[in-house]
Amino acid sequence: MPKGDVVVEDLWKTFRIYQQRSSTLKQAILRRGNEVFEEFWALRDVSFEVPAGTTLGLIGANGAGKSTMLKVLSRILVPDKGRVHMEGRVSALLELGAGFHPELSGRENIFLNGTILGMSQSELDRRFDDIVAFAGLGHAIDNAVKTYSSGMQARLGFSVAVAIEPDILIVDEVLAVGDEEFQRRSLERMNELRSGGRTAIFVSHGLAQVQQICDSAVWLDHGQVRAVGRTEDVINDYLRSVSPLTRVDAHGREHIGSGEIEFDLDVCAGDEVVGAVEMGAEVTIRVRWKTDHRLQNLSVGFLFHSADGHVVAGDHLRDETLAAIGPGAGELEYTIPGVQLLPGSYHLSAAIRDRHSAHVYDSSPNIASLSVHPRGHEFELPGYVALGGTWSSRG
Amino acid sequence: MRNLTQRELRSRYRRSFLGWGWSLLQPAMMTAVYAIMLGYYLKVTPEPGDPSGIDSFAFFLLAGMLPFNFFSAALTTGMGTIVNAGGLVTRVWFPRLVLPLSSIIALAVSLAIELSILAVIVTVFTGEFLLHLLPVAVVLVVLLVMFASGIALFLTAANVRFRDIEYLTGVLLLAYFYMTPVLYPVTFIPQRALLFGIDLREVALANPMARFAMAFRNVFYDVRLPGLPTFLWLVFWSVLAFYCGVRYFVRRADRFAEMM
Repeated sequence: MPKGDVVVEDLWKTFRIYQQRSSTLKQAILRRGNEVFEEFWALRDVSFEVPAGTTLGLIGANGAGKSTMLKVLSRILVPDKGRVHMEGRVSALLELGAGFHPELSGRENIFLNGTILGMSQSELDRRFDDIVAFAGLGHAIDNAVKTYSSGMQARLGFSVAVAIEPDILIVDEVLAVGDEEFQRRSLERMNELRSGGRTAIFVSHGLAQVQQICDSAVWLDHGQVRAVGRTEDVINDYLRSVSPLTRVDAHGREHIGSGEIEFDLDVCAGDEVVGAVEMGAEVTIRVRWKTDHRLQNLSVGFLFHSADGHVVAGDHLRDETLAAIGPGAGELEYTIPGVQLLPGSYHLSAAIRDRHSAHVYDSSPNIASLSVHPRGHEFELPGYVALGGTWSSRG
Repeated sequence: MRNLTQRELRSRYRRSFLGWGWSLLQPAMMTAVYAIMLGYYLKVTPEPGDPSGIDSFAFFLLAGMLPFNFFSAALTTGMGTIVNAGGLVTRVWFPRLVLPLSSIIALAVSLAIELSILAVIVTVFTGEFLLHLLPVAVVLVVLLVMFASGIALFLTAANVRFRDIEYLTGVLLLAYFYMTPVLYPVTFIPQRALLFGIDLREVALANPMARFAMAFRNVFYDVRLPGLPTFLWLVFWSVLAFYCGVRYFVRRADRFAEMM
């Protein structure tokens, strides 16, 4: 087996939920060993494989067994049946800063934490400066950890954990803590590890994040594997079960609708898809659709939203252009002769509906984005739209 | 392991003003109290050291008490390590043995320092030079560490399951301390002292901690080699306790995270 491979075979894990638990010898003697408990299977016959150098996402509702799975993978829990085979060095980041000692300085804690996570002394000596730099603690490194803010502790914990350069990295939601800057850097570091051929297993409730990072996914439901395979397929299976009208497309964008038709939307200048234009430029909004059905009386609409969430402008198809379509694929274009939006960033939402019943076939709250750059001094104007008027004076 | 031991040593004394001094003050104080109470009021007078001729109750006390204090500290602090490190155990995998063992090794370092100081004081006050017994002292310390670790590991693992074992151990240790000839020589137990038909002298001599106290006294008070039977008895118990303790601990360690 190559380094970094993970194979999980027929894994079962049970917990006992005690109604009466003798946690002291006294109770145990008094009850003469009568304990009342229920068996609860946290994992039932779970199998999957993660080939070296790929990233796997674990998704599922709360209590589906994701965290138990990660704990079994990181050897904190021992399975009742089945086995986990992992090649190479494993590093688990289940909680940042686990094992920091408040009385010791950041420096001492790096050595302590690193040791617990399995780094050798010489390795620690070598990587020490990198860790401090990544954590961005500066002189605070010699202060006791109890004087650190929670953000500082989180940064220090993450820095130590990724410094290990594991063959297999196990991450549980921890990227959700910390400020935006820290999240960005942690994601960068995760991607670095990935492109360095490391295997990663990742739990997150952020499905877009899973979609972005993971090559494949496993959907756990009440301890059982409901789906395993390509991230997009698994996430869609999952979403369809949670809310039957939701799916995620190939770019991780959320779609809501009954799904008879699927669309994608691009903002184009000429034939080219663009993300930014100058004010006054001509842009085309191109909607591409495909469907397996014969549909009638469709209406297509889109809205521009400002960065602060206001609807700025929009339009929808009112006539008989799409009186009857499909099955098949097609395109629809909307041309704006000169963009009159003021400089700033905007995103677009769009929907395809039935023209009469307003039944939604497919819609997306955030399908594309557009930055508008100034041509002159327009950024001085208030609001979102250029009026394009002229001043004249008399008298 | 080394880092954890250092953490233990540093954090234990960091916050206290006298730092390392505390670890020496405690036995010194207890010796003074026992010397006044037992040596002066109750007239406990052990035989002078043979062949050293040392005739000081304080030295007699220290030679037996330091090892016993180590033993009881190893049990009480070792036992709390897993339960008190709760967060660490449920969040990170590492060999669980490291936690109790590093705390016991930190205590062993303290013991070694205390014994060295005792040796120096004995040399200064009596002119007895102890250096030739150093290898014996080291072997005894190693055996004691093994014995204490074995029992501490057993109790540590059991304490994760039943939390009151910690309190029970505290009570039993106190009784054990007074029943073990540490504050008095074994000869103070009358020959044929029968309790329900059990010869208490025989029991005392079978007690491994009594044998440890005697062996350490042989070195630091009598200034001679411990007898071969004592030595073999200690080897037997240390190896047995260590083997069983480690085995039991490792078997139970898999379930620690669940039981927390």
